[in-house]
Amino acid sequence: MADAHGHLVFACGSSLYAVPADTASEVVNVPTLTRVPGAPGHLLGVFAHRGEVLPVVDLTRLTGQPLDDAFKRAVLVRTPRGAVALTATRVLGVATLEGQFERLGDSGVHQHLRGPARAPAGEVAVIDTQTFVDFLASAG
Amino acid sequence: MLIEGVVLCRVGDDRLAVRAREVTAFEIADGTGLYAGVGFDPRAVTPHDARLLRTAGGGLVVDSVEVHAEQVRWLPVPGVLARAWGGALSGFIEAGGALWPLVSLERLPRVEVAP
Repeated sequence: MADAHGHLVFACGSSLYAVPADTASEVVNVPTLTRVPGAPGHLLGVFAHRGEVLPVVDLTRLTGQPLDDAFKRAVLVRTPRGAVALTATRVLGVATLEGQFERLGDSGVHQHLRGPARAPAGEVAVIDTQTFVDFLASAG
Repeated sequence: MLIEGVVLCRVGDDRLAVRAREVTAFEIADGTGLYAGVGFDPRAVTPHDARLLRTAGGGLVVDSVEVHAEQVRWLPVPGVLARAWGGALSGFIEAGGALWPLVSLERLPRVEVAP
């Protein structure tokens, strides 16, 4: 099955992720972050960008594969619940995906990942951005 | 939106701000009050030479304070952080080229302090 809508594909650590292109507003450089003490470990901090405060979420920590390196870029995703910046080690561009779009797990963040889907760059987990941001808000 | 009258606080390696109008007195911490370290964990140990921000509802302990009288820009809490600090995170302010989480003292858990 092919997805008729484009997805922005990016790498975070050793995994590939994709978000619907219409929810990915831009790719940003991550500046020095302000920590929010007591926030969950996957929330690295916040920064101000064009008049709003953006939380930066580390996907590797959410999926249990934390990296030691600092992230320099993030994919800014917007949903009705709010905007978040998802850490990225590489941004590969917009692609049409093939394959499955089933839930990849029954608990935690994996409930909000779909796949396995295929992009030209390889197998990707598609982030259901609406439910994913709701999940982050409930965990915060 | 601009606001004025904030108290900039240091807590370990972190920083936060409170509205000056919520603080009734600044004192040396005496072991009572809620320490702001580690996200207001009531189990956190208050460091030596800490400062107590006395409020109508109790007190908040931080490492150091600086009163900032000028107007600062206030930015709202992003949606995913709406529940942070039990709802006491009430926005962010920009001061000195940095973002400071703004805590609403009246929304923090009430911790009695000695008079």
